[in-house]
Amino acid sequence: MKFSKLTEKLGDLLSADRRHQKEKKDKLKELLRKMKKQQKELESELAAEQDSETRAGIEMKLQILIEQRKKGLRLRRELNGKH
Amino acid sequence: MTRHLPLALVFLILGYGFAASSDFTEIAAGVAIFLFGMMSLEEGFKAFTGGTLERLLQKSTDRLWKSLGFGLVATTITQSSSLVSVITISFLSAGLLGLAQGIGIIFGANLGSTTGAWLVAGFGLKVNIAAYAMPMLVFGVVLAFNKSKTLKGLGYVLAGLGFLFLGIHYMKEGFESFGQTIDLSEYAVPGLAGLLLFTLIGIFATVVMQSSHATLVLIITALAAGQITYENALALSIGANVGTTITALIGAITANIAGRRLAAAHLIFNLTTGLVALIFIGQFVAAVEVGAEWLGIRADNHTLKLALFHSMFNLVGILLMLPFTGRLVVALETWLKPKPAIVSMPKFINDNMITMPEAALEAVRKEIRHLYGNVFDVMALVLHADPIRLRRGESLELLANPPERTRAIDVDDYYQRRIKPLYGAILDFITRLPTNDDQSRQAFALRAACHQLVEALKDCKHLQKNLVRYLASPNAALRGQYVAIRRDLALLLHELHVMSSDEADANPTLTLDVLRARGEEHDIVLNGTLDQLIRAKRIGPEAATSLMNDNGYAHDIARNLLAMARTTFSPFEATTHEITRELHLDKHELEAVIASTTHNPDSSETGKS
Repeated sequence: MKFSKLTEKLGDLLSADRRHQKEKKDKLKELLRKMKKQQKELESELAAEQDSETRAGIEMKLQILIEQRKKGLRLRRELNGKH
Repeated sequence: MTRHLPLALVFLILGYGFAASSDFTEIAAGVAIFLFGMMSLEEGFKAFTGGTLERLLQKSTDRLWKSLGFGLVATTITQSSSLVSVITISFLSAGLLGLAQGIGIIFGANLGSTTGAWLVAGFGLKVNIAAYAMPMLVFGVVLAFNKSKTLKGLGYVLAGLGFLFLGIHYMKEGFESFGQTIDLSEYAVPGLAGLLLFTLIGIFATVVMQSSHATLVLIITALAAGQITYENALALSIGANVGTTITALIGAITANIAGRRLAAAHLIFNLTTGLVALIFIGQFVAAVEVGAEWLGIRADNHTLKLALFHSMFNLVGILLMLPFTGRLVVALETWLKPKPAIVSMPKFINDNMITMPEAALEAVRKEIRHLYGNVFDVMALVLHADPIRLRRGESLELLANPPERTRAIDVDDYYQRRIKPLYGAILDFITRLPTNDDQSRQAFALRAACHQLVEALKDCKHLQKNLVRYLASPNAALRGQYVAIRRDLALLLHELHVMSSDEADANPTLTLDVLRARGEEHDIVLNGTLDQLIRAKRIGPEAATSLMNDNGYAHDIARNLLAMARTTFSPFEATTHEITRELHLDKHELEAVIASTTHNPDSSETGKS
């Protein structure tokens, strides 16, 4: 293990705040992965759907998911210290 | 299906009876009208609870002798002890009378009913109560249309009395023609056997005819014609006195516990009086002879002697029972207790958890889901949806149509039994939890979630008033809007139930925002539907204001339910909760999404990120 990685792990262990940040990043990463998967599923569902009313429902769901994902990605950038 | 079987059986029997006998049809219609009158009377008296009628009744029945006098006079005027007992049961059920006063009236009514025998025997006259029914119904219905609570109540009372008179009239009409087929002379039996047999016949005839008057007319006619002996006639009148309690018992079916207690008192009094009269029949006959001589009744005038006997044994009954009225009240209150109401109690929280706030907060969350289940049931009923089917998501497409029939439920009663005890227990539990900073925030949010649920239910109660009215409106546009409100709320309840169950989807943040967006999209004030309906004159201004208010209620119900769900059904674990809170779209972001999907249906195809 590289020295930088080792100090990072030690820092995580000693600081409750950093531990929390790390946990938040990991959970957000997992959540964003799930959201991306769900977005793809919704897109295929929309492409296959013919009924206009059902399409409108899926579309709205998809748009909300996209917006939520955008917010999630912004949050991840903030957590990684990138703005 | 099986739960409708008894009803189907009753319909089948009634249908057969209607086809077989016109007398039966008349009697059954009489019973139906009579019971309807009871309901109307109760409704009317309830309007006066806490008002002038209460004071008036208290003044005229505040002493036992006054109650007795009231019963005696009222029965003499109306010539129907059954009617007076039924009215008394209604007064009692509405809380206008105490049981002791009610018993006094019943005792008096028994004595008052004997005046009928005097009238029949002495003058052959009888007041025809059906003659009062028609004007009472007309005046009653006219008054019931009135806006004033007092006049409306009076209208219901009058209409109720009218229906009672009409019902009794139909029953008598039907049974009197039936009574012509009973030949009493065939059963003339001497001695003790005759006494018991004729008492039973008297009971049976009165139970069937619903009127001791009708039985007494039969007895007096038979006695005058010499078809039965004087002794047998006395036994029959005792039986008629016992049998007349059946009317009060029928009246008690729709009454509450106080009404049933009074009906039981009526039965006890008449049974005791009948028993005393049977045991001391010899002494009574001797006393009647003395009394008849004193009153100047001829020795061979058996019909008037029968009337005297009837009055005498009822008077003796009253004198015997009066000293025990207090004890009778206590006994009845002990024997007949109100059914314990089904009260919802906590399933997950208990005092053992108090020392473990983490576990306790999770238990509270589960308990709120339990509370949501109860609120779900009440709301589903308000929305005219079967709670079980709505949970399972069965026949959701039917929500696009108005319900087959509309009816209001007593939301307050459900609240008292199924919501308030649980709500109180949760609040009490949360208050006693020793929490740290973070846990305190969670506890506060959970308490707010409970409050949001209860607020949603309160709004649902307000919504019910017009929902019941306009779901059956002949105006298709108006009805359609209420069908939409009902459908949207029912679907929201279902979606939230799915979220609250273990099979909840992996992304509650998305589900909650979609439900919020759907609510905003369907807001008819925001989307302009209401304006269009008014401009096109498809709904009147009055209906428009109702619709606007009810749209507001529906909006608030959805907002409170979603806020509750966000606290209770979303991930509870602190970090995940923190992330999902940041991912939720705010009001403006949500509006932007709605605008983009409404105006540009293909926006999603290009909006991938």
